[in-house]
Amino acid sequence: MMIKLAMKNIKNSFQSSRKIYILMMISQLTAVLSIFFAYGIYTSYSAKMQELDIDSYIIGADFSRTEVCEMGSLRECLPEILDKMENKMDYVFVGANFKEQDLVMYNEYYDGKFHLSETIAAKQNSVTGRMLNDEDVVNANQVAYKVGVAKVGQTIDIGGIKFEVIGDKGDERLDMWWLPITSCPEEAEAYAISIFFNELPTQEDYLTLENGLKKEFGNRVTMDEFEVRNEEELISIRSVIMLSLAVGMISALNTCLLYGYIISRRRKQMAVYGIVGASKTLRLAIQQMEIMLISLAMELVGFLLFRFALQDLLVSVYETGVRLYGAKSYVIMLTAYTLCIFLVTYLMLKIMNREKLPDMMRRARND
Amino acid sequence: MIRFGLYEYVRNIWFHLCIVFIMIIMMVITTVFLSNVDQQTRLYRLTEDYLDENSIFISFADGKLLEELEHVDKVLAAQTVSGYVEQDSKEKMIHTAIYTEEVMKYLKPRLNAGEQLKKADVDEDTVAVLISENPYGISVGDTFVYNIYSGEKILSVKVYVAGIISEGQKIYDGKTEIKKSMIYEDFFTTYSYQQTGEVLMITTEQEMNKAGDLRDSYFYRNCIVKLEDGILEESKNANIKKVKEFETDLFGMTSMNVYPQTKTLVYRSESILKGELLKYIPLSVIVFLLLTICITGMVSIKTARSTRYYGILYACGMEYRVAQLMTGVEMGMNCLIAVIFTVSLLKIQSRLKLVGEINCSLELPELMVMFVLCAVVILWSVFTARGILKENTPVQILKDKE
Repeated sequence: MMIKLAMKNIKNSFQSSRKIYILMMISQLTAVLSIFFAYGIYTSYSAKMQELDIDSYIIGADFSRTEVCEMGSLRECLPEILDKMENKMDYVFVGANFKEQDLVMYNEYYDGKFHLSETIAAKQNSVTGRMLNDEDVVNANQVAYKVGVAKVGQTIDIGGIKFEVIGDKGDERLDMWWLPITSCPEEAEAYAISIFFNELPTQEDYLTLENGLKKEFGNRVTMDEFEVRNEEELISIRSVIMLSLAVGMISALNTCLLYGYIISRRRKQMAVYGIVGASKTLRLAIQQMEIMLISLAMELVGFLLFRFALQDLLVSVYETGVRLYGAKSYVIMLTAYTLCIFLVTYLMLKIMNREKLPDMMRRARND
Repeated sequence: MIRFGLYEYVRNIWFHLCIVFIMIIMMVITTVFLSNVDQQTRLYRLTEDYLDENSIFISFADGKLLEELEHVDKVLAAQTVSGYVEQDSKEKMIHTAIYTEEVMKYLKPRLNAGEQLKKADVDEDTVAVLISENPYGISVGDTFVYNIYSGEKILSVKVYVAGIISEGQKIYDGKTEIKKSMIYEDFFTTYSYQQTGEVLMITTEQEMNKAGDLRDSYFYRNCIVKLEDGILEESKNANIKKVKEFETDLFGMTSMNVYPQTKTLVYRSESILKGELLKYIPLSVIVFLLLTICITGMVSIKTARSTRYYGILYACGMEYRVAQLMTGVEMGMNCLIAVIFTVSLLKIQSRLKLVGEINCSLELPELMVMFVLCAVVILWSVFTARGILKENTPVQILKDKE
């Protein structure tokens, strides 16, 4: 019965204040589209900002794939290089191959020795077995952790050295062996090195790495470009993120303004309902239902329009490795939006309905 | 009438405050949007006049070489001098980039402290400069003697520090890497004292001229020389030959071959800029749509709320023009309050960086857009009110609004 009454109210209101109602519906639709859009912009640009931020703290190099750069040689020259960066360095990543086996090593360097990278170790969740530990690295234990899926306890042969598999990540998409840099076979072919810093690396750090690697490998090593942190780009990205938030805010405010007006026009009707016996709760519920019916209808239309007409276009413009729109993100956004509309209109209705009926009638006449 | 208008305004104060709030956000959105687009495109706008098929690039030149080139339309060059400040009997190096008025207009440095060069109050014989973070203890308000290397001579110049340059911004000092894949952005360096360890000063030609004609001390790097339209191929080749000879004499080699073909550079630059600007199109559509909806909503509600009231006054003999005027004045007041708050908010944001540093400059285009927004809101309200009052009799209005 309440739904019937709400539908009847919607029909009557539409007929009496057509322009305002149409405007309100368009405003809601625009608000929904704006929120989806703003979310996409926010996610895309936040990911970009994070990527730029992280890249600022890395310097690295690639090794030739055609002329071998052995891990043994790299391991010999690294201490001299890393000694000079010890205080600023977080960890060093070395990537190597041995007969199509992909090897990765994440290590810190201090007190003249290699240690396990705590930063990376903390991010690994071993499904079975255990992770590498600092002792494995310091003592050059012949152990391997599978960044992928492997049988814990088995022995594998890498470069003629037997490694015991101590744990795995359980992720079938990955296929790499994490070894202690100290026990990595000398003949393994290094393909990349990256040094991750806690503070911004300087040109001096870059030259230290370059000189150290060139001394050992000559033209077989290609340095990545030294990139000075581009604050202007970060500012630009932050500005767009703020814009997306402001867009969301203004669309919400505008909708609230229109709802506020529509609710204020209902004072007389609510007073009449009260006079004929409807309780405050019932009056509130009727109005709330009407608002929620319109909101949900507009949300559905907005979602369908965005999902099938605009989403692909936006994703192609704001291409990013991060997946912008998924079922979960839509559900969260729509739920949050519905909740906000519900709470704001509930408050407005509560304030209106708290007045005494005669006051409501009087105010309705004066409006 | 004024008292009545004020009373009417105060009677609906919450509604008007809502309008003001929405208008503030609208103005903030347009200001940030325009500032961001301006910032993204400024390097292209600086170089587009210089980059065309007839342009030639020179990695290093002196004033004499540039004068010898023929049929030159204009030159964009990073002008620098090298010098030092003496501290504890030691020479502490400082490089200086000297901007022309045009370069300064597009590349106005962001500052961590102090003020821009134009606002610096200095003597006629003191050169106002901006300096980077430095290990020499030099900061805003300091005055020192800067010794410039000029051939075999040292020229001493008194400088005053007006501001401290922020890290990580584009400057024009010619120290970029020349490569085949260059675009317009690559003529400008991203500067950071923290990462490069080089102390930098920036000043303008106008300021530097106070110290006399020092152009013989200038180095010109990463120059874009735009030759006159219709220049003959022989003349262009003659210029290229002069540059190659100059570079070979000085360095034993030429870097002209390292630069990309001008056509390629222009094409690549335009493609990249278009790609960046494309990202602003959906955003601008949404912003435009939202602004239209917001203004329509505000005006419609304003009119709907006031119509019955004006109908009563109309019935009592007030002309509809007065109602129009009152609507205009009310919305005008809202706009004025919104502008004041927006400008104050953006100034506070620039100073205190409440939400981190964002692009929110208050230059002429941004202020013009604010003005246009206000004008649209006021005029739309006035005409909507007029439409209702003129086309209906007072009885019709009162009947509709029962």
